Amino acid sequence: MYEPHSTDDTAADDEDKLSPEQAAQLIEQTSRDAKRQFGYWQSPWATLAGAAIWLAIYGTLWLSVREQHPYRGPTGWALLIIYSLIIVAAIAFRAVAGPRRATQGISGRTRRLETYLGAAMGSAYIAHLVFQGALKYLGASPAIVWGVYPAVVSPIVLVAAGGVFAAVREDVQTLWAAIAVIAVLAGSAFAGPIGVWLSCGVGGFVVLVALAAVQFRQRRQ
Amino acid sequence: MTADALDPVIHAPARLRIVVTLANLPDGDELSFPRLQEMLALTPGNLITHLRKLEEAGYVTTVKTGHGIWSRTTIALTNRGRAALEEYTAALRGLLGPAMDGSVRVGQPGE
Repeated sequence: MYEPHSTDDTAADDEDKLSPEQAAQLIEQTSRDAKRQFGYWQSPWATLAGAAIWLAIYGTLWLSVREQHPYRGPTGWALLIIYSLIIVAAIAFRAVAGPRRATQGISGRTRRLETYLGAAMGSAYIAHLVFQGALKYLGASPAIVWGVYPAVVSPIVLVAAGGVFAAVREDVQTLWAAIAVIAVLAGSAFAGPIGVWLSCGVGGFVVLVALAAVQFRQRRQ
Repeated sequence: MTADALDPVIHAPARLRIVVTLANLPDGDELSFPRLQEMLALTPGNLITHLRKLEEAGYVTTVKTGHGIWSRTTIALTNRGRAALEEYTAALRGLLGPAMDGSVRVGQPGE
C-alpha cells in the first residue's frame, strides 16, 4: 500500500517520485476511500440492522392483528412499540451508517436536487395520508383503511423516496433493493389485511438481507 | 512510453489524491475545504499550495463565499480536470500493460 508522506513541504511532494505501479495503487486506494466516505450505506451491518428493524415493525403489527375477526387494525400497544422502534432505527442509522457524514461538506447539484426531491416526496407522503383519510370518510372498510393501505402504500412512498435519493447518488444497489422491496409490498396486498403485514415483513427482510450479503461480498473484494 | 509521459500536474501523490477524491463526486458537486483536508489528512498550507497548482492548470475551481467566520471555500473538479485524469489513467494503463487494466479506474459513486 502506498503511504503518502505528511510533510508540509509541497516541493518535497513533487520530488516524491511515484512509480506507475504506486500511482495505480494510490488511485485505487483513494478512490475506494472516497467511495466509502461519500456513500450512504457505508456498513453492511447497518443494512442488516435495518432488515431486523423492518421485520420487527411488521412482525409486531402482524402479531397485534392476527387474531382479529373482524379486522379492526393495529392496536395501541403495537403502534407504541413500532414508533419506539422507528426512533431506535433513526438513532442507529445515524450512528452506524452516518448519513450526515456522507453528505457533510458536499454542496452543488446533487444537494439541490435532493432538496427538490425531498419536497416532492414529502408532499407525496402528506397526500397519501389525506387519501387514507378520504378512504375512511367514503366508508372503506377497516381492512383497507387500517390494513392493506398502511401496510403497503405508506412504505411504498417511503421506499420510493429512498430509491429516488439512491438514484440521484447513482447508488445502483440501493436503487435495485428499493425496487425489489416495492415489488414485494405491492404483491403482498393480495395477502389480505392480516397476511399483508407478515408478507411485507418477511419479503422486505429477505431483500434487505440479500442487499447486506452483496455489500459484505463487495467489502471482501 | 515512459513515466515522463504522465501529466506532471497530476503525477504527485497529494495532487493525485485530490483529483481522484474530487472525481468520485457526481458531476456538478463541490467539496468543502475542511472536508477535503480531513479526508486527505493534509495540512491547510499543503492543501492550499497543491490546489493552487491544480487551479493554475485549470483542473479545479475554488469558490469562496461569505466573510469572516461565515466564510466557506468549496472545491470542484472541472471538465478539463476530469479529462486530464482520464488521460492520466489511460497513460498509466498503457505503461502497466493489459494485466493492470482493471485496477486503474476512477469512477463516480455507484459505478
